[in-house]
Formats: sequence, structure tokens, C-alpha cells
Amino acid sequence: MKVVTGSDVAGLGVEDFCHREYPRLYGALRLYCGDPWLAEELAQEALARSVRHWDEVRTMEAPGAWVHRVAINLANSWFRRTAAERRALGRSRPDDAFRDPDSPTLVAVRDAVASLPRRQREVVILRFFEDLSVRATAERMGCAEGTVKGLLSDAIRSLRARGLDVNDAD
Amino acid sequence: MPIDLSQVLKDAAGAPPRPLDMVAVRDRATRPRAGHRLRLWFWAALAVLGLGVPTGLTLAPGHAPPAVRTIEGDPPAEVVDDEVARDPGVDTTTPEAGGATGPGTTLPQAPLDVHESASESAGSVLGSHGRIAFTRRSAGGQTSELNVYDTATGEVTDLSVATEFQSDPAWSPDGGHLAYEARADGIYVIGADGSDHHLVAAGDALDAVTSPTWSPRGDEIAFVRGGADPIESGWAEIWVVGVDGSGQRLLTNTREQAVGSLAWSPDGRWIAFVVFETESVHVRVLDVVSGDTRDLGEGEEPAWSTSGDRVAFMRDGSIVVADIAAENGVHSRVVYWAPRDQVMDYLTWSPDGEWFAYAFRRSDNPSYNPPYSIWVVRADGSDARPLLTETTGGQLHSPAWGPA
Repeated sequence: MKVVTGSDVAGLGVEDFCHREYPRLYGALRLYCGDPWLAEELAQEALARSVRHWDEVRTMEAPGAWVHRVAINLANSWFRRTAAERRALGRSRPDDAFRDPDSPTLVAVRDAVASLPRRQREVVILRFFEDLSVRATAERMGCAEGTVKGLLSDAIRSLRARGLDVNDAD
Repeated sequence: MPIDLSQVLKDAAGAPPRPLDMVAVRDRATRPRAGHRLRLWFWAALAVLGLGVPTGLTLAPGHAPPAVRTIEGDPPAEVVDDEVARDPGVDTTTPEAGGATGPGTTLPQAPLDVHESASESAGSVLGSHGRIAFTRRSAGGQTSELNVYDTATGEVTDLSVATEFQSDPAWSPDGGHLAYEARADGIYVIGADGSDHHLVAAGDALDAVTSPTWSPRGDEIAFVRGGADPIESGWAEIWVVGVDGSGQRLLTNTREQAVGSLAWSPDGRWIAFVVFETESVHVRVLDVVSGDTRDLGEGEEPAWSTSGDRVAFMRDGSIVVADIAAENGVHSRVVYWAPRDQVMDYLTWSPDGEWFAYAFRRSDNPSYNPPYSIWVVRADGSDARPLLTETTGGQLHSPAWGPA
């Protein structure tokens, strides 16, 4: 999956940038949050912030990475806000009327990824959904490459413990 | 055969259910930028006067921020947590005899209602207990305006502040001014009569400033820069600035934790705040002079008693009061449990210590921007009732209780 870089954006208008970024943002958030409606909402909010600050965003070396960071931080902020509510309610957030039309395997993978601890979840999405290298993943997450590899190993182990026969991390 | 995680994740992520709505995106992003124009005039004025332009990112010469550390290995001798068991039968939504209406009741057709009942109003039960500032957000959360409710008269005043999306109001100790956060623009101060409106700390999407709280002398404002909310970066620190916008200085230097919800103690010694851990949120108090911190346990939205020896905060659907002045450690106890169909947010304590106010919403509404009302409950946990409701589906949020 190609990440939009500064050179790609140089001649791009803000609407074209948003349309290019939206499917990737939505996909990453869908995997991160496990909720398609929340993913849609957060993706739009992240893109709104890129629109608001387009003069700065379009000159960045990696504007796609910036809006991805904003989107993940929005999701984390939402989780922080609702974590207390979920604990108070003593149960998971109610499942809306949404019925997942996908195959059981895709549903199982999505649920398994969404259940990973936050940093494992993020590294899996960056490495396997956005196809970033270990180095690029480390840069995006602001950590060492060794940390990325460790998180990946832990994530793969967690996914396998949930019954998913996944290939090894690189 | 092992699953190809890369391919399966792309399939699992799926496509957006609808095409991107750029009209909606632009609507979120573009607002009248009066705050931006105000900031340009502010910088220009500083330049004309030959004053330094504070960047907010450098320390005053000679100032070393105190190292923030948790007191580890030396825990409080005892943390007494007198938890009152949650009674599933308690239902504060039931209207009391002669009391206020409960949530979900259809109210008279008006944009904003101060609750009335047949025999007495929430306002008259409340009596004269100062003023409550709050934000009034439109349904969908696109706009947010500062309002003030006077508990003595029952009147609501819209301050009509010309900045984008106001939130997190905080009263000055004398009740003459409010500090507030203008989304991605900065921290502003405005007189309670709408006068003296000015910027004290600028911010933007990449360097957000939030959560203002006044010093007890009324000459400084502490706030959060970066991190917690809005969220373009993953870390945040506590700063202090003069109410005229001068002398901005860094108070903490963790560079690894997201913090928010500041509350300065009445004696000036402590700043209560929350730390966003990976899977939980903790309330801590920071010694402003030494930089030492003390953990009060999981919770959010700290609010000080006027005496300065107790901190109230929210935890898992309850209101907890922690006594930090106890000699043998921090004593905390639950004073109120919200019913399971209610969600509380943004706690504030009345100056006379008799009431709490909070933002309330129903737990069965899972939308991203659900309707919120302002509720009150006595400090002993009794008599919870609605105070202000926005009947067009918007949000009344971020209550801040100040003096009369």
C-alpha cells in the first residue's frame, strides 16, 4: 500500500489528497477500532484537520503519515473517553444493529486485531495493512526497530493464541 | 496453510461504507476564523510594543523545570477506600416528590430549559450557589459557545465569544473572568460580562493548548500544551502563563505521558491532573514547587474543595472524594454512584462545597456526539437531578462552578 509523501502532494489539491487518503485511513481505523461507523467518523475528523491546516500539511515530508497519526490519536482519545464508561457500565459497548456481512475468517481477524493491546495493534496495522518496513514503522511510532520487532512477535503470538494461523512476522 | 496477514488485513479492513463527503469534511474544518484574526493582531501589537513574542517552547533563562516523579517506594501509609457498594436498585431518574423531572422527559419546547416542576425548580432547590459556566454545543458538535447560568436568578447568559469552538471554561478566583480553550487556537480569557477578551497562550493543530486552570491569586493560568486533547502529538506538558499572556514557563518535563484536566488547589500548592496510561486514566496531584507527584488512583476530572484538602473526581460511574491532608496517607471514599443507564462527565464542585455538577448523558446512546445535559447532586450523594437540558439534541458540557 503506497503512503502519500510530500512529493506526491506537491501538486495535489486538498480534496484530491483527502479522497486519496480516505480509504487507507478508514481501513486502518476499522482495524484499530473494530467499529465501521466510528472508523468513518474518525477518518472524516482527521481529514478535516488536514483541510484546516492544509498550508502546513502540504509542505510536510510525509503528510499521509501526519494524517494517519492524527487519526490514531483521535481513536486513542475516544478510547480514553469511553474506557471509563465501559468500566462503569461493567460490560462491553453495546453492539449496534450492524451485522458484519464478511466471512467468519475476516470477522475473526478483525476482532482479533481490535483486541490486541494498543501498540501491538498499531504495529500490526502499519506493517501488514500499510505494508511499511520495520524501519518506517519504527519512525512512524517513534520507537526503535527492535521495539517494533518485539511488538510484532508479541502480536503474532496473541493472534495465534486466538486460533488464527498467521504467518510469521519478518 | 498459514494466513497471509497482509492480504487478510486488507480484506478485513474493507472499503468505507459511503464515499467521502467533502462537504461534511469542509464543514468540520472551516469556521469563522475570528480567533485567528485576533491572534494576528496580538502578535502585531507585541511587535509594535517591542515586546518578545513568546513561543511557548523555550524556558525562561535560568529556569529548570522541576523533575516530575512519582513517589515510588514510599507509598502512602494507607489508602483507605471506603467504597459504598453500588446499589443496582438506586434510580435517581425517578422524580422525587415535588422534585425535578428525570432524563428522557419531554420538556417544554425551548432551545434551553432550566428545569421546572410543579412545586419547586431545580434552581430554587439549589438556591444561590454561585454561577455555572458551561459550553453549549450544537447537535453534531460543530459549534460550541460559552454560557453562564446564575443559580440565584436562574438566568442563562450567552457570552457570544468570537472564537472557534469554545470549551473547558475555568473561573478566576474572584469570579470576574473566565479562561477557556478555543479549539486549536489557544487559551483565552474573557470577563464574565463579555469584556476584556484576550489571548493568553496560542496553539494550533500541531501544538495544541487545553485545560486552563487559574492560580488562587488570579495572576496566572496553568494549561496543557500538546498531547492529550486535541491529539496531534502523543505527549503533553503542563505550562503556566500570566493572565496577560506574559511569562510563559514549563512546569513539567515528562515527555512521555499524556496529561489533561488540570485543577489548581485553592492554597496554590497543588495542581491536580489526569495521566492517560495505556489502558487507564489516573488522577495525580503535582506539588508546584518541588515537582513531586502523588497518585490518587484511577479517575478523571479532578475538582478541589474550597478548603483545598480534598479532591473529588470521577471513577467508573462514581464520584470519589480523596482527602489528601490526612497524616497517614490519602483517604478516599465514594460519595455517589450514578445509575447504570447514566454516564457522567466533567465534574465540578460548588464554592460552598454543598453540590457537584456534571455533564450527563444516557448510556444507551452510542453515537459519537450524543446529547448531554447538566445535572447536579449534593456532596453527600443525595438529590441528583437535572439542571439544564438542551432540547434540540445538542450538548451542554464542561460545567465549571464559580462564585456568585
